[in-house]
Amino acid sequence: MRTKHQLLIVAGSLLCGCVGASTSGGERPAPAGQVAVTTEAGTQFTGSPARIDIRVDHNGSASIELAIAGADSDNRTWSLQAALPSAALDSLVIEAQLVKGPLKAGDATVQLSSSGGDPVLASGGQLRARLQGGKIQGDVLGTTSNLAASFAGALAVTCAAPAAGAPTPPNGGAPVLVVDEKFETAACKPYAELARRTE
Amino acid sequence: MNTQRGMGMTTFKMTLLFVLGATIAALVPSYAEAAAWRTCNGSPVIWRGGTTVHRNRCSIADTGVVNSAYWNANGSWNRFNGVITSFLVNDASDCSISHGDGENEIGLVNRTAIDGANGMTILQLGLCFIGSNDIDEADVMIANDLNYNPVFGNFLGTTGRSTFVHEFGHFYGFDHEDAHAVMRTSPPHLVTGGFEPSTNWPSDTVGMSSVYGFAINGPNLLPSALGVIGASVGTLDANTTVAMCRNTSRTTRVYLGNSGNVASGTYNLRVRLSTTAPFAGYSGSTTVVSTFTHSLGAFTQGTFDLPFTVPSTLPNGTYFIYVDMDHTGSIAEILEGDNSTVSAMRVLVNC
Repeated sequence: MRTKHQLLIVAGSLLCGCVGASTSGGERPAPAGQVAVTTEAGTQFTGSPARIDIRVDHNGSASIELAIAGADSDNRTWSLQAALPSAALDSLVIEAQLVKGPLKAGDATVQLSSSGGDPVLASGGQLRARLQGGKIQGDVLGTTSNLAASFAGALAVTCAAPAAGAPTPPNGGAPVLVVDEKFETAACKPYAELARRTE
Repeated sequence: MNTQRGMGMTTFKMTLLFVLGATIAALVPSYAEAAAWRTCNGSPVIWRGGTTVHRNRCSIADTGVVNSAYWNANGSWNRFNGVITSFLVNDASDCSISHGDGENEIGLVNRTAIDGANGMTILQLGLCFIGSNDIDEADVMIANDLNYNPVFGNFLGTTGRSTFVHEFGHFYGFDHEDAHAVMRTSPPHLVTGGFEPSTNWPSDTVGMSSVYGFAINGPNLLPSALGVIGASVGTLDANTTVAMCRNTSRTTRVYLGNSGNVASGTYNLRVRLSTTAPFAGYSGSTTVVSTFTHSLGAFTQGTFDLPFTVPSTLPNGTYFIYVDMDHTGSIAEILEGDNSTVSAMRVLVNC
């Protein structure tokens, strides 16, 4: 199909002398992936910015998770998730041991998954990363070559805290946290500077 | 001609409360961010008195996924106010879209014809001189290389179906807004769950309410496993599989919104685990792992971390995490079928 808009807009304007044309809605293609992962085996994955999610509970204790995920040209996903001690956000240095099971602070999991298939998890190794200038750069070491990788790219920080207006659990249930997008709550304010540096 | 943002900007009302010695901020789910539209002498540049559209049958057949995307897109806006009064079809031999002929044409085109964009809408506007200004013609063109198959609620990418909804927003006179909205400038697209995940959001419908008014009253609850994170759209939960033992807890993050013009009242909300992938998992066998009550005002939204605990009796397996709003069906909504979504995160239970 061929569009003839340039010519016809002009024609329309000439005919009635009362019409202006406006191009609206040029939705642009998606930007390139914002985090890049290259495995030791040489496969490249790209994805959304790495994420640090901070959750502050009613007692003021913060749990911190790091997540990175990227897809390759075959639609396989390489992903990393780590539970971080709060000191990691002070030093901006992340170190974690790779485990295959549930995560506790200082643990990380790295996995490779195909669409519809069970993931292949690293059973041992280390994660080392550094946060700097709103970006993250690091390595996964000591595991198989399809999981060991270097990664670098953009970083986004989120914070959630107890707040009014959240869904209410039944009596005795754990409270729901609300994502504070602007880091305005007392609980999330201390992380505003970290978030600002990642914008 | 100016561009205006209508209604209130995000209003996180902050009130400090002191409960049990802890400082808790009252972070009320916020009113939707503003929609944007052109103005002339202070009044919106919109359709007045209704209009018609002509489907380009040469590129949008009478059946199939592109046809259903077309109907979903115009319905996403027109259900709130029937600006489009007649849906006409051009002859199948007419394979061009002409501008300035007074006919609103909707069709697929080669991407190169729209400057490489996913979609483009060309509006013919009257000159802004005295008084208000109208849209005289709008031609919607969508790239013909997009995927039109419905996607899951955790899909992160570009779909022809969402591009259709986006371009029909321009048809109605709305401009881009980089909020949680279908009118965002660039993909990835925000999608909800259910069998038709491409839709508009409170930040979009608040604009409809402002400039056209709603011809229908009610709430419309819709969740999303995607959200605006920093400057881009991403999955709210990490796209990964997390290992969990029975009797342990974690959270799933989800966006909850009300795109209707009436407060929802108290509705029920649940998180459930299922080994069944979407789409079948939206209504398949399931284990409910947490329940909540909630309410959302008209055009409000928020993003929440919902806690859940893996039951002691749950068999080993890899589970999808589903979130259902109003699963009890107690709220009469403008649109049903968009109340469930699925997280990008899976849970591996083996201990």
